[in-house]
Amino acid sequence: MVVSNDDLFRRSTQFRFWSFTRLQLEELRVVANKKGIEKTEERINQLDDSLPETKIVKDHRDQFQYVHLDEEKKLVSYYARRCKELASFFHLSAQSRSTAIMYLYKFYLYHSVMEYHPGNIMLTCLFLAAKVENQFIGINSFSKNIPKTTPEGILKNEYLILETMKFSLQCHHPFQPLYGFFLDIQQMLPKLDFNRLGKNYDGARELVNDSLFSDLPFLYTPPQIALTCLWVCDDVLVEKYLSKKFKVNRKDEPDDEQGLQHYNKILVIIRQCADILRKEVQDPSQDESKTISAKIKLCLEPARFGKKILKQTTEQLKRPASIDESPDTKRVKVESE
Amino acid sequence: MVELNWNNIPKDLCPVCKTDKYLSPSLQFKINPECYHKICDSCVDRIFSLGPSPCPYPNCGKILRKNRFKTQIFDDIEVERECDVRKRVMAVYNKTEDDFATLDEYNAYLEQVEDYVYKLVNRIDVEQTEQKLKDYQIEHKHDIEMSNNQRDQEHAKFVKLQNLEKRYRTEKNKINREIFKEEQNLKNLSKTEVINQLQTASGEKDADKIIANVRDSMVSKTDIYKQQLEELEKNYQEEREIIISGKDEIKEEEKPKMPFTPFNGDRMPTPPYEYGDYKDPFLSKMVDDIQYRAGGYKLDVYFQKSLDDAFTGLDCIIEEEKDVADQIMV
Amino acid sequence: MSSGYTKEKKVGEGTYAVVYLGKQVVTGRDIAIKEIKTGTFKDGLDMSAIREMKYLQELKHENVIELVDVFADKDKNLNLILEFLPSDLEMIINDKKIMIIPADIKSWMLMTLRGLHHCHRNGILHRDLKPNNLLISPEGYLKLADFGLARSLGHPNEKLTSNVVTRWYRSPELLFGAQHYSPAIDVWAVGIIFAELMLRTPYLPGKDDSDQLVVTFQALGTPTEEKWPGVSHLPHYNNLTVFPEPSRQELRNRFPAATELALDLMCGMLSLNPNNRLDTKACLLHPYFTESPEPTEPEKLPQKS
Repeated sequence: MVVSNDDLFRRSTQFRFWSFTRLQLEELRVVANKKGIEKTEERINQLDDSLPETKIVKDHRDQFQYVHLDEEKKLVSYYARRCKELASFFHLSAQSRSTAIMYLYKFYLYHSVMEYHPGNIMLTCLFLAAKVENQFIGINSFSKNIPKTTPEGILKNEYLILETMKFSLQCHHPFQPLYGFFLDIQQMLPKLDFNRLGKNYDGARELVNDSLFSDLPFLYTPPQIALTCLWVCDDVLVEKYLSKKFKVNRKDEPDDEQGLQHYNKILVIIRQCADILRKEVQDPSQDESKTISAKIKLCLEPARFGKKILKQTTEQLKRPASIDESPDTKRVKVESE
Repeated sequence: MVELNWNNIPKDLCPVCKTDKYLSPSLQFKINPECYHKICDSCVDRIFSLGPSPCPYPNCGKILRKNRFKTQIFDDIEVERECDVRKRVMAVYNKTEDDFATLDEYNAYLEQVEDYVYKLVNRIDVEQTEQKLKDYQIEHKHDIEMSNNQRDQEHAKFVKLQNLEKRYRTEKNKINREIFKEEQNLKNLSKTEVINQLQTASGEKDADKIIANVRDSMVSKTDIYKQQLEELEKNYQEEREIIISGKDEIKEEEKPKMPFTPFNGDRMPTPPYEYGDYKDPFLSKMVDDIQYRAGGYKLDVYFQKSLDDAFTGLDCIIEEEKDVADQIMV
Repeated sequence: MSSGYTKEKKVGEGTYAVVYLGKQVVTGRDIAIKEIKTGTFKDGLDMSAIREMKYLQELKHENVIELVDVFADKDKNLNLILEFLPSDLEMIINDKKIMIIPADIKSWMLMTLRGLHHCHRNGILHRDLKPNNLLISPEGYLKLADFGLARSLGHPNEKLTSNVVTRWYRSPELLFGAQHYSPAIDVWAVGIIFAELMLRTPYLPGKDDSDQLVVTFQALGTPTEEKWPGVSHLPHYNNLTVFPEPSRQELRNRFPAATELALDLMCGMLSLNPNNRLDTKACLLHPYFTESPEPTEPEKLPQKS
């Protein structure tokens, strides 16, 4: 009948709704991406046949470029990074900022960028997160400080985001668990140089910030991510701490049986987690984002695709007649006419 | 104005204030068991609020009290009277069939009771009958009380049985719903899209094998539920017996007391860390400010929360705990 | 309603929501539907709705109200589906036909503290405890409700608003405008509720904010810099009439039905200096709960008539 701390985590919405196996996470994104493609196809099918662009679009359907799975992830991460900058502009706490980023990633587990552009969704996520984390910014002030936005434009996405997140607003980030380890290590390793611990704690905090731009929050629990970040900064420190905690690797005594199992289990998790941290943290360039955004524009308004092709073909027709703009060629042109 | 006939008062008219129900639709009447004369609510308030007063009907004049006025239940005033008399008499003569050795004796008792009621209703030998009632009541005071208690207990038992049955039914429905859900899930398997999902997720390409696996897990689940149902039924019957036989009353005193646990399980008997002294010069300085100390802010509380958080979910292995089949079936 | 719930009748209305009684179609279970009013908050979803949704989704305890579901109807009105709790502690206290014995008070206090302990364990301050927000189920279980003012503990550098908790249940540090307080504010409120249960009338009913200070200190003594270091530096502190702290005998006279341990616990919860106030853990471990009489079992507690 005892409710352990781990049980408390299992009751949270973070575990119930937002923790997945790798396969499940991938599945969700495949489904979302498919949905985006379907919606785009619907838009194509619904184009007005009387317009010239429509026929062109339908004729060149096989050339139409949808956004790929990895491009989706890239674009969302790009705007997640922008979100971080915006949060700093508004002097928001790490908690508010991280919650906003989580909301953005969660949204795109169930939707495609081809349905809603992350640049817009990101703003509403930030606004909502500020409210949720007790750093309320009035919508008028918020919108005024962000060019090309209106209060209505930002608010109109709020309901959609809430619904996509199944109305679960609480996010647990690794910051506080990291601080908890900072304290517990002091207790477990009293002879440890405080400066070394402090420096590693600061380094780990930076890594925790980075971890938000990967899938780690969906695959691992906040304490696991926190411990991993600390381990990446100073693996010796963390292993010494865990050894002392689980009573293993002792000089004069044999390993505690259960403790050894526990120790090994946690290290396996840390290693897996660190792997992802090293390889999969996303920081796409502005160019990549521009390319993908351009694709989205066409997906949202397929008529443009038709117009684009139209423009290209007309330009191709013109080109042979005016390859070279030198005066000689010009004279030749006049003569042939 | 039409002259009021006190022997034949119109149905919706108050004879005292002459208010009509047509003009005053919210008009309501009360009667007093002393004389059963109908008076409207406002008149009752007006005349009797200050204390007992005589009934305003001519030739009545009986002293009436406000708290004895009640709404007439039966259309026929005589039926109302008889019911009131019966109620009074039965409150005194409240024996049940079980109190008598033979059926004849019981019938004789009932005859006597009817006799009294008849006399009182038809105003025959009223004084003597009332006296007999009074004497009986004093003589058998103890028995009357016992019978009343017996009746209350029976009622309590009945209520308990009702509640038990209600709880049993809710539980049963819950379990049946779970069984139904499992069966539905199995039915849904026939939809190819679910098969596709499962195939991709579990790497198992053979659709039949997948269905077999899932069917197995469904069967084992429903088995568990069916077992729960059986146990539930058994418990229900047992508890029913206990209530009927009255043993639950005795059981209350004999029941071994559960040891008192103030937290009721809501804390870990041994926390995953040992609380000690911690060093954080930055925060310590912050909370040293008088505003923090006076406001009751405790850095310890923050430390404790952080430590708790460090161990909240540390041992949850998501990849294992979020089982594939369960997830997709949702 | 398409979602599996039926609305049957309106039972109340607050500033941000309308409450209906209804049923969960599949189970026939009685539920309460809190329909959030749209358009009352110009900055999107209202803060109280956000807080209730945020915290109730995470809390699961037999002494905390259960959030059964959240959904939106076709007009995008948000509905919070809560378990149906027909009565509350205020109704019971004010209903003079109901007799309350010490074992009953102990039971309600135990359930309140357990529910509060669970919130504090999750780092959540309730910030609006009062008898009206302690709802009672048909089986007699008491549950904390109305998380519209609740808040996570937060980082030490965050400033909190002192304008929380209904006036009669507001702790002295809040009355003095403290912006860095602790879960002790909730414990104070529970202490006031304890007193109210024993007196059957509100213990410290102030007419306005400044009167509240007077009423509080008249009853419990004015805090001094000596007994509460730093109090004179709090934002709304000003020179107040100095009332003496009541002696134990005076308290016994005021609370004739209380045992010594009950008074002990109450005083521990009503310590003016928040640093000395008991926390929920200390309250639950207090010998008051193990001395006789035993707390009444929930099913046997008096219910509204």
